[in-house]
Amino acid sequence: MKAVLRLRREPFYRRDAFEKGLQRAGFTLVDKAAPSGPRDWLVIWNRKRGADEQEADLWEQRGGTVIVAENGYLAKTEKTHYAISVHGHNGSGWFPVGEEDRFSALGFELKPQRLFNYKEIVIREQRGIGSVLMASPPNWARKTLGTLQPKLKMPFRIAPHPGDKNKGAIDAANLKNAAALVTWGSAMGVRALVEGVPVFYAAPHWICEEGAQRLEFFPTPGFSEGARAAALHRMSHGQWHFDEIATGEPFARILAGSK
Amino acid sequence: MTTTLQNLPAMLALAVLVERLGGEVLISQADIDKIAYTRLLEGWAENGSAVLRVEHKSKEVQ
Repeated sequence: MKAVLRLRREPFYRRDAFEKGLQRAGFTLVDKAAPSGPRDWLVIWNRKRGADEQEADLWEQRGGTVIVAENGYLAKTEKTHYAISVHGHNGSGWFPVGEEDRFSALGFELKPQRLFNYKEIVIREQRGIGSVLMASPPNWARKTLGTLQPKLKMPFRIAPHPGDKNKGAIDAANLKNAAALVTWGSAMGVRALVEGVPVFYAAPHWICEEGAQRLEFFPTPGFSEGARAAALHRMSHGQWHFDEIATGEPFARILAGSK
Repeated sequence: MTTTLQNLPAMLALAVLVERLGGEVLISQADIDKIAYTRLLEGWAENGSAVLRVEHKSKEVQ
């Protein structure tokens, strides 16, 4: 088994965790290779459309496995958890979902579902990064606002993308008065589910789609406690702390599940 | 048979019936304005459905 690791050198602890984890799972790290089967991996960041996606497509066409890493979906401390899945990020790929509770360890209390007394619909701006399938269209938030506003008399607000720092706190502040969140497929939606805010998503796949509603059904959210819990459980098996990654466990689980 | 609609949208169903029976339905601009309505979101029911209040535009103008 060999693995080509395409993650940047920085941050060092992230690269180090992936290197150690892959080696502990039995991979030999190489700078470049052609796959000779599904146990040869190409490990990339996000599968962005363009050169990254072309390389991933080619790797898969030749019978190899593409592992996609990204920032985690939900964590108390940023840049500690990383999403890891086969083929695609944010629900567009596959990862094994075990039975053990990984969500509780993240330290988030599930708030009751919001029912009344919240008076704005928040639309989260998206940056348009991702594969051809998963990247949001240009100006998605503004176009969505134009579509939804005539359907419902309600204050709508576009929440700008928070950037790469302090995302959790900014997202939480943006959700303070939200009756619902409309998102392409952002991690803010995961936080919204935790806060009890109904989520409508528009991407073809989303990591917590089981606990949310497709945008075309707006404004009927159709939420349930069971669906929310199942969605967050699944999400928690799709992201790993860098210390866990260094043990090789997420990679071993993928290997076991791919047999 | 000619019917002028005064009380929309309940009369719409009757208008369709009248037309199907071969009658003529006259709808004024005022009637059309009354058809237009706005949906206001009150919140969400426990079962996950939206609780909406439907308000005719004519009421909104008042």
